[in-house]
Amino acid sequence: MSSFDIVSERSLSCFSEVAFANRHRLRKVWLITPWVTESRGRCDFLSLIVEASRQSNAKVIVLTRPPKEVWHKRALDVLKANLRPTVLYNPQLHAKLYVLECNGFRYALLGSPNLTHRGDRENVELAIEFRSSYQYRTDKVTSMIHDLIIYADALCADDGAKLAED
Amino acid sequence: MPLILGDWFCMKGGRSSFLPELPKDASLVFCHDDVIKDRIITGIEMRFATKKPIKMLIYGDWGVGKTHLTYHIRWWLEQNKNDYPAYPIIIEIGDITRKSRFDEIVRPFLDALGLDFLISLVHAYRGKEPNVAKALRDKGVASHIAEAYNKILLSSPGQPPVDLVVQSFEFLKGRKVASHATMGFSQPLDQSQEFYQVLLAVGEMYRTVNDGQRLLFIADEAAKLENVEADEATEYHWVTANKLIFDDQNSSFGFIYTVSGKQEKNLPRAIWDPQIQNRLGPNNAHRLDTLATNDIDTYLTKLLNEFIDRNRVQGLVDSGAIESSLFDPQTYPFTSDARARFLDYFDRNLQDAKPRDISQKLDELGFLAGKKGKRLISKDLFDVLGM
Repeated sequence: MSSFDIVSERSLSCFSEVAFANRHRLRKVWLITPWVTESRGRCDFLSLIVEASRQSNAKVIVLTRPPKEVWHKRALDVLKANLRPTVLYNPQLHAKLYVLECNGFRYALLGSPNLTHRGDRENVELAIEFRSSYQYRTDKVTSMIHDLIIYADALCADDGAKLAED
Repeated sequence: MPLILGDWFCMKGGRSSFLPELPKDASLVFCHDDVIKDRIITGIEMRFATKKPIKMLIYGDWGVGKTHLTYHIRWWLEQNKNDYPAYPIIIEIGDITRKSRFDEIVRPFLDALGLDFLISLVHAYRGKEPNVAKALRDKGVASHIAEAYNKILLSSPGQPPVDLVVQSFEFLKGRKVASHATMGFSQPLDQSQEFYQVLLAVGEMYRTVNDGQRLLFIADEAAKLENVEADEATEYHWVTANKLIFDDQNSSFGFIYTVSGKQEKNLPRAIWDPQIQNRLGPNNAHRLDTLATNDIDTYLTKLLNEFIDRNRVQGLVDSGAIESSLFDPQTYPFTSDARARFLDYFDRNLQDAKPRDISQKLDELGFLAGKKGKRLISKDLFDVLGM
């Protein structure tokens, strides 16, 4: 089956909770976001993503802008210190897309929020989430997730995306 | 006639919902078998093997089954009381504000035990230790607390307590006692050590009277303790109390906290300060997870096997009330495709795959089916609930 929903509040918490709940079968994570920050307080979306990816030994791909601010570097450092992510920089990046590929399940969140505390808790943001337990493109939502993964891979392979050297 | 879910779906024993009830269902385990058997029960056995009181922290998301687990632990201890003697007392932690102190936990425990219990206990203790106050002082209980317990001897077991005994009870619960000085009480208890010693004294008396059997205090819903983080002094007060509880020096009583939180880092510092972690030890902190795909199926199967009266269901099939062409005993109360869809819904929403949520969705679907006069939950009902 597949489904989609509008997510207008705490979309990154939602994404990270899905990642965390699926950590026993998580294989690959795409985090495509111009900006990343650590989360604050107890609602820690970044640490949920880290723990989910670490427990499942999932491949993590991060595409973001080259970090200039301390908070951006620090958030990437958290990911690098806990995982072995492939980090790519694209200074032109504006898209925000978060995808989970699991055994028997795929999830994509597409919308306005950056992977930041403000994006999760403070800004007015809007996103759509797609979920599918189908293995193949049997319906529109599953096809959409499939296309988003192709798009994510294409963005990461794009000439504008450079592998982080640090 | 109003729709009664339990009747409509042939539930056993007067049940009215697919939600397990406590304490009635404490013996039942529908999920988390590995954590419960391999870690928690084994952990309890280990504590007894080393003659240490049970000390444990159980955490996990809301609705994942922590409260059920505490009742199951109590049930298990009652079933195995000859080999694992303990007296568990469960309380739910009430409202906690930034200034709440440890008496918010001590008070409900003493209330749960009751004054009659304490009167009998102190008298029985005097049978072992003629000088109650001195014996308690020798165990590390401060004089004013030991004296308050000693005053309880003024009432006899089975008799209405005299006023001074009632006042002593209130004093031990951290309440201000009217005319405290003339009645021989100090200022109201306030320090973390004092509240700890109130539990220590009752734990020590119980252990002495009952040949080594210990009280086990179980405090449910400790997530509320995050409120005390707004006040540094109050947080320190709680950290100190919990350090004392979980320290190896405390061999007088056991203690279990349950806390809502997905990860350790979500836990309130009042119970997860590094110094408390160090005393508790990593093997005594247990996480209950949301259910994985296979666990959802197992939960559903076990729950329905336990709750449904199969003979009554077959009676409805035989009478034609349930359409036999749609009925499958393996999937009842669902049609077979509806059961698959139910499992698929939670598989796509594993963040919600918690026992409480699964049972609640089952209730919602069952109610909807009943309202439509259907004896089976069919696929079309899922769209109404957005599943």
